[in-house]
Amino acid sequence: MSPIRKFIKWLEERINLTEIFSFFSAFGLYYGEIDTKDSIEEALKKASVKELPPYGKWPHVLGILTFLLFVFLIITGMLLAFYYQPTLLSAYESTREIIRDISFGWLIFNIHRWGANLLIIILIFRIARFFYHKVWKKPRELFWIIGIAILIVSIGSFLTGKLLPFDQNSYWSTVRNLEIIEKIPLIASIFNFLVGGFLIEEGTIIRFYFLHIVVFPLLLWILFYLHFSTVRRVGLSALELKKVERVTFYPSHLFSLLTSTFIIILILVTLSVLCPFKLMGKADPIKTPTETGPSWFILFLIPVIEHIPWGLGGFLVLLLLILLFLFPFFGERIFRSKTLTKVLTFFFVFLYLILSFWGFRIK
Amino acid sequence: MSLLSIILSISLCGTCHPDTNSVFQKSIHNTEGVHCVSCHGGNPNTLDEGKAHSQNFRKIPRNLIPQHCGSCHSNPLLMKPYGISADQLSLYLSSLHGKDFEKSPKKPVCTDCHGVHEIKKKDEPDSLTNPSNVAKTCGKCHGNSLQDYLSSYHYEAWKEKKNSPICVTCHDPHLPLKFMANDIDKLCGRCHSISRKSFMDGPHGKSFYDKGVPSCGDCHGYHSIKRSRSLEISGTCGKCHSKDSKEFKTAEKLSTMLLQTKAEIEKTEKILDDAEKIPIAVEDYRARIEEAKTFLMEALILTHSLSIERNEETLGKARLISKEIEREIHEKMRNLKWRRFGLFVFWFYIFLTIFIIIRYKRWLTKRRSKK
Repeated sequence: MSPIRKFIKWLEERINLTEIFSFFSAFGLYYGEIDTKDSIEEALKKASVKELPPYGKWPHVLGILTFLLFVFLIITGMLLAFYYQPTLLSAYESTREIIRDISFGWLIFNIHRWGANLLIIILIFRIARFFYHKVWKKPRELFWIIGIAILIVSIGSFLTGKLLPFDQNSYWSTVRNLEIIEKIPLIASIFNFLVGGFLIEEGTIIRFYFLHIVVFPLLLWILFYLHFSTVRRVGLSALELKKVERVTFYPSHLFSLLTSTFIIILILVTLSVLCPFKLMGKADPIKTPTETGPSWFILFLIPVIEHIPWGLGGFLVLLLLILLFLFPFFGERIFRSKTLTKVLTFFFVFLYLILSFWGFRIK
Repeated sequence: MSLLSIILSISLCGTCHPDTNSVFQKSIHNTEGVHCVSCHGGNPNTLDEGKAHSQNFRKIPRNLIPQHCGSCHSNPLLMKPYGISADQLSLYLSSLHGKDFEKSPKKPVCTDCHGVHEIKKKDEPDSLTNPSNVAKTCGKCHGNSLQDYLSSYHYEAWKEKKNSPICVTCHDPHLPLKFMANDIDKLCGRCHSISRKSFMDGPHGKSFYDKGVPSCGDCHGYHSIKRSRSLEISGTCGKCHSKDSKEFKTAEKLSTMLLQTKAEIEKTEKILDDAEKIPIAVEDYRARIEEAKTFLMEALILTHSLSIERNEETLGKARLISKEIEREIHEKMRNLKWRRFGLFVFWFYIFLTIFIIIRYKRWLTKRRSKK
């Protein structure tokens, strides 16, 4: 018996490794159920030969990519938390210290920020893909709803994290973000209840920090679990693949997962080295810089909120959000034709881009 | 004090003169116990007009105002507790304002500058003699000078720092004499002492000492004083020196030297701004660039001596600091390029790993299909 096998056997006598494998499979590592009574070797053998749906293969791994990015954000976030100080006086200085003086601090900081941006991009792209492929039809209503919830919570996490470096850019961007949130009923009330107002002061930064490092990650963790749980129950059979290949966990799914992990690391490190974020000087509530505006993914809300009179823009945004959540329950009646769904997907993406561009011009 | 005396001491003047009363209530005289009767006499405890305006009641005619104010303000016993000198009346009477007043009572008297019933301490923001309001108060009569002053650098600096000259810094309204033209170097030298020394060391200083020209105002203007950096050589030096003259060429050279050094310092500051965004530690460099700016300022002052050698020596120090900073920052930025090199190495390993994964997977798939 090889030393590795001996070690695994030694471990297995003391801890249920199959249960650990089962836990990871709950977050997209493996599609299917695992009998935790089996030994790890047996469980892996069964898993490796079990046939998976064809979308378990690259490039249909966006869901796992989002979770991977989330894990990267957790790891880099923890490293940043060692040095970051969430107070008005030290937030900027500690961020500057992380980037300037701590070994590889600049890399961790930039991977965290680029990772957050990439996560939002992939989540938006996923929602568009779900819509295009009608991955909201019965029995996948919960899958869609949880997907939307993941996007909303990720946006919340992004917006709260945006303030933390406390430089001019992050401060004024947050001010503009809050101006938008303030005009959306219900969301504004929830925010007001949690943070205690729309002015940025000592309390705001510590509450944002708590939301960013505890509340939102915990929510995301739960939502990811539920999301993958619905996939295991109902699958993603709405996808139409031309060539049906035989896909197993090993090697197809595992290798796709490994490749995508390396590609994500490559993208994050490359962006961090070639396009690092620059600090714009300590936040100054009196001096408004001209070049900052709200976060890029909510730019589309500016024309909606600011150009629709009597505060109806905010109500419209809230209505759209509610409709987005409830969409699976009435969508089938409206979008019966596949062509119409596909055309409308492109229309909505185009509308989002146009409104974002408009928002960018008037930010 | 009995209740009756308290009741009797209440002034009822305000009942018939509410506007004057409301203004007077906020004045320093009211706060310090000088009431209507102190200046106007009369009986303040009755509402009967005849009785109120009896008992030595008086209106104070304009020609008696200085004497009237002086009745208290020339009394050392009354003024000492407030730290006010008791020679205000005598100074006023010997001043230009006072001498003009002797000729015509229409000329400025105390109340024109200090107000009548609304007199306030000068550190109160709405006092007519508050430093922020002095220009407006003087400008009531000296409109042209006010316009010149408002366009001057002195006023620009006043708006920013509140410690730059206002009218009374140079022209004390209670002082007896008008400044003599050949004393202007001393007047400006009160604040610009090094500039004055430099000026007196140079050829202009010697000429000023002998002939009274050129004075500070000839180049910088009087009330519309301009910063030397905004002065144009042709417009300033060209007033006295022809463009072909040796003096004009010296001025041109001095100007070029100063502008070049200023541009170099600004360029270094921009490099520091960019470096700070990366971020690179620039605090020490900021302190050093301030040192370079101090040398530039020193050279600007030395320009009054019109000595190219002295200026070159000082500006050389500023340029040296500026270049040293640039070199050190560029070196630090070069170090950052190693990150890119590291990225290429990283790419190589990642691509190699992905390549191995793909090849291994294909090999595995083939082996399985054979089985």
